[in-house]
Amino acid sequence: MLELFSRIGERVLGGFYRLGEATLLILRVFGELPHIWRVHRETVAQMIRIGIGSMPLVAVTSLFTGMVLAVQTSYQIEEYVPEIFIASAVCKATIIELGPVITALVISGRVGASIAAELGTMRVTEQIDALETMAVDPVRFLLLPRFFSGLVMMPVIVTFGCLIAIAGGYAVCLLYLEMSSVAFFQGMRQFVYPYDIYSGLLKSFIFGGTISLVGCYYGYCTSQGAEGVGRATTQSVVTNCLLILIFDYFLAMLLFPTAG
Amino acid sequence: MQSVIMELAGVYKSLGGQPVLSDLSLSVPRGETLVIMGRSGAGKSVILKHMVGLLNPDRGAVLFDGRRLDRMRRAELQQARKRMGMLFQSSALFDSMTVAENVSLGLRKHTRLGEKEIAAKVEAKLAAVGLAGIEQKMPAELSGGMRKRVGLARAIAMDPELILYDEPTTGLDPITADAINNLIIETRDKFGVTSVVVTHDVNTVLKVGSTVALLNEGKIIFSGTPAELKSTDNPYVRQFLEGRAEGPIKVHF
Repeated sequence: MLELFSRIGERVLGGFYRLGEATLLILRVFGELPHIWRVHRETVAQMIRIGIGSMPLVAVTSLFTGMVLAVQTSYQIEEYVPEIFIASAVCKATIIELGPVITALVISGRVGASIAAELGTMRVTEQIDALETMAVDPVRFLLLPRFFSGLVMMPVIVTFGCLIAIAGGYAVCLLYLEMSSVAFFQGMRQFVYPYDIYSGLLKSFIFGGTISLVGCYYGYCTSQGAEGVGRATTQSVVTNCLLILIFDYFLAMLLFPTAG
Repeated sequence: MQSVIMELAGVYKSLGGQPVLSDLSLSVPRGETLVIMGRSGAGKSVILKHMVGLLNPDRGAVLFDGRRLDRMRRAELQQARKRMGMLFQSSALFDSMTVAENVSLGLRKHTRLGEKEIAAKVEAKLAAVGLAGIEQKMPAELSGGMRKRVGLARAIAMDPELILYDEPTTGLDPITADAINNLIIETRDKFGVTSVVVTHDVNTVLKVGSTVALLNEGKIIFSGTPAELKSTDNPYVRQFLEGRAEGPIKVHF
């Protein structure tokens, strides 16, 4: 019994320790933001890697998401409402919800995991220690460019993903549901407002920062060799997926209060 | 300027609840090469990590050029680190960068040198370790011995006053290991640096050290010149030099 309590206590204390460790690291990254120009080379390289490198995967997932959305919306509402609302539903759902969330989940698997694995490997092979001994701050040199790139590139990737998803939905409406182009764009214009676009972009901005910070934290704090790198990578994906869905709920409550 | 560049005074350190260093004291006179020898896992690398500020002692003091390294603020510590270089056991080269980028990183971050001057410095440092012309290679393309040499070129790129070598010959064949030993001596003679070498390689101990210290159970139990080391009757030293499992140094698996 005593052992059980001791284990629970250890877990709770461990949890607080990690929370404190993550908070301090995040504050250090935020504190380095004014120095971003000093690592502009590394930042541009990360922006290309995170942004351009993710485009093909995001294009495929977004295309199919948009197409599925059109087919299923049509299946659910075609008997009750005019067909132009299918276009409205596809575009609106893509911009305010599916575009940011699905892209964020895909990016957390691709970018968050790769940041955690890369930094974790650097940690266990003493490359991060080597940076410290060379008086190069690893938070500024490694974490800041990745965080900033995630923050800035995510809205770009989500915008690209939304356009591809809407194009997919448009193709299904035209070719499969036999809707006219005019009807599709009329439906889109009628119910998609600029506020929806801003909300989607704000979501993607927050998701981008979250994904890169979580990857940075697990990678930077990796220990115990190759096994530790594997664990850090998995934990970064799991944590990111959970945080994206939790943040998505609270952002929905905040941005679309009438829905509550 | 102090005559002792680095000093550890009464240092205690535990890691994961296990005591690693207990009341360890040693000093490194300027211009000399101190070799710290000891069994694997004796805490030799932990000493180096204290010297470069990667670890802080639980008790005791670490002094660099007469100032408390373990109490320095981040900016001061960075200034102190610019005066040191470290060669890691695994070389710890940045594997996403070319050899030239590895060697030049400190110069780029801490000096205002132009591209041409940086390239010239990189070329000179690589030539000093016998690896001219490999600037554009990636670390993955290099052998273990070459990686160590590039690691050394990176460590000396900023012309440090103190170089720390963590197991410089471990994992290398005897001939390459001897070449690395020669390089440590050449680096000392050519650049006039102070060196601290931790190793369990007896050849390195005898060849490069001006002072040798034996570490056992977190304490220095012998200190002297290589000649004194060879002639001493100290049973710990004899056991280590003769490579016997039986003796006062306990083997824990």
